[in-house]
Amino acid sequence: MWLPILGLIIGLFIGLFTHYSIPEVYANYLSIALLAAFDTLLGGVRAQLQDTYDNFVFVTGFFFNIALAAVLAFLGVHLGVDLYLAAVFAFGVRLFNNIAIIRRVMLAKWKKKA
Amino acid sequence: MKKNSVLFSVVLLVTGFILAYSFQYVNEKRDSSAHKSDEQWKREHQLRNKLIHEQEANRDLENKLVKMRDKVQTHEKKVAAQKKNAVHLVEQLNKYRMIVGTRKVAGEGISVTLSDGNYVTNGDNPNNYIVHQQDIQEVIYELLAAGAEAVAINGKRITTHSYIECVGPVVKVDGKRFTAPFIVSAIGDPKLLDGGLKMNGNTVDQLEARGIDVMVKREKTIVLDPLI
Repeated sequence: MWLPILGLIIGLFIGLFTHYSIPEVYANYLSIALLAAFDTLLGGVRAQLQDTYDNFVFVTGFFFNIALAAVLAFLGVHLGVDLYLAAVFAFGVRLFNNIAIIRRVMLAKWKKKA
Repeated sequence: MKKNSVLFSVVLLVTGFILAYSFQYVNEKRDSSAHKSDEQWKREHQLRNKLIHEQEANRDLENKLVKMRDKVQTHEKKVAAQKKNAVHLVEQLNKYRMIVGTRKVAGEGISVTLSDGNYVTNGDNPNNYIVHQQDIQEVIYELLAAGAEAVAINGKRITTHSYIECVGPVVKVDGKRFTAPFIVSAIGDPKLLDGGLKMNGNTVDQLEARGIDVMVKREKTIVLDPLI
């Protein structure tokens, strides 16, 4: 149980102490990657609550989503179309959906207990 | 279960890294951009103030110079009146000053307006329809050859050591920039000057053949300011 939290803290520290600055153009990739990571994490939590969680799906989804988002942003930069907006939109919608489902499931569980 | 928590820690490590890194990146960027623009603004303000100051000083000095020259001339006139035998010398001096460009000159003359051609044939190089520095030079040479006593481009007096250079879309005359249309004014016998320019196959014909708008006008009085 403590290992994942330790991982999170180590990741946060590495990120905070990395002073390597990337070009302006690639700032979009970063935001996309962040959104993808959040989306997948929340998706995992939701799946767990709905008892449809699968380890393999979760881990591949995490890295695959990040990569896909980066590729989309890359294509967008080179085609002159703001394709990263599509990713932001998709992930944003999914983020809200996941949070809504998590909230409902939690509420239902809490009601059952009470 | 052991395998699960290792996987989770890797996933959370990556998430944490991305989160912290973008936080850090945005913070740094905001700091640097705000700092830079402030600095730049200050510097620009400073330079601008300096420039205005210099320009004012320049203008004052120019005015002073003009006044001084007027003074010198009035003194010379006085001297000329006093010494009759010096009259001839002063006249000569004035003539040379006129040629060198340090004296105000007024009299009959012509003005030649050179403008870029309006009509460019499709696919033709527009460079051929623009007034170039050598076109202006051509006109000036022709005017001088026809006996012009004083010549100016857009009011800027031309002297024996003036230079005209081509700087992209503008033309620099003794360091001052001018854009089309260029008005070359010359003082001299209008008949001679006009005739010289409009001789068959001469300057005007050549320029018009190249697609440049040339307008020659005889003027009753042209006043050319002295060179600063």
